[in-house]
Amino acid sequence: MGYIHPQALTSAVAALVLSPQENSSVLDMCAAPGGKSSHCADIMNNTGLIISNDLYASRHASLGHTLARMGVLNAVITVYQAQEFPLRNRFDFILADVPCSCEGKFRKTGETASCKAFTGRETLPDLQKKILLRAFDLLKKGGRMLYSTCTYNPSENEAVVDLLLNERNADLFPIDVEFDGEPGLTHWNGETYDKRLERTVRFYPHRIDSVGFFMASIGRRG
Amino acid sequence: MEQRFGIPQTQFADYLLLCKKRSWFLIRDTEFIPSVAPLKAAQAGLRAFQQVGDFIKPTTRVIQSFGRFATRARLQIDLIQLQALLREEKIHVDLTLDNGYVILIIGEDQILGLGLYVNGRISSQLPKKEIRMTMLT
Repeated sequence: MGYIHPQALTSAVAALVLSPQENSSVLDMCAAPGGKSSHCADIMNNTGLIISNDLYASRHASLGHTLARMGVLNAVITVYQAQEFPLRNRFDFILADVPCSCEGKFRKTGETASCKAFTGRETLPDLQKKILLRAFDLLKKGGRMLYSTCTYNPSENEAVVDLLLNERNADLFPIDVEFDGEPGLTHWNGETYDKRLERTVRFYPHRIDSVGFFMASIGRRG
Repeated sequence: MEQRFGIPQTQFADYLLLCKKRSWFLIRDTEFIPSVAPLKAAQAGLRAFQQVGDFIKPTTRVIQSFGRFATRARLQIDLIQLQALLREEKIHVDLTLDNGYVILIIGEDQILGLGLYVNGRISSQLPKKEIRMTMLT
């Protein structure tokens, strides 16, 4: 009936950190299964417009079902590859909750075996970088976006955001939540990242008893 | 919606009604709609009505969203009546209503969805996979 929608604590925090305003425009670049889009709609009191994008038709059923069950009246489901979302529109708020290796879920789901066997993770950072750059290019001046993953791998987190800081006029904003997070890394595996990466947040399951997560709150510099 | 349930048209003033095949979708009307109209979309807004035979039936979702504004064709039921409906039994009620859809409410104004009122008996129109399974297990 839409009165309750279960989410991991860290997943629920994503929309709260983004805090889309009423009557604003929002793009959720990788929206299925729709929990964060629905949460945004709730925060926006069903005003404005949410573009809930997901490429795969197989995910549209779960996305549409979640949006309908939650009574979302301000969303359009689009069908683009996130990294190729058309540039004709700009948005006030963008959520780039990108495909990732999902290491943060292993404690919950006990998927360590599949972690070892998981193929394709080598290509994820490249995809994530393309999505984040496209997301930034779709952001209005004065807009705000959130980059998030449910993984620990710095190659999918800090390195991705570091590339954005190098290639675009982007800045990072502090993330203030009421439970334990740790600042993002500024160096790892012989690489050094922009010092502003300390404004990103890492959440670890053993601290918060939820899914591991990474978040970066991003806007245009100046 | 106004004729059957007494939901004023003004409640829908801020929305657009889009038609696709035999369904109608309700979406918040905003300044952004024209600019996103060229996007490739799988769905826009909430499926609000669908044609069933010669009738246009409101969906459970639109009733759950707007049913609180209804002033008639509302029926408060209790848990025992709900369980009977979920077992696909009909419940007997005494309503001064023409045959047609009624909004089923349980608890403190929690809107479940629709029932179909025909000659003093109501049958369930509630979604099978959700409410029925949840309540019966």
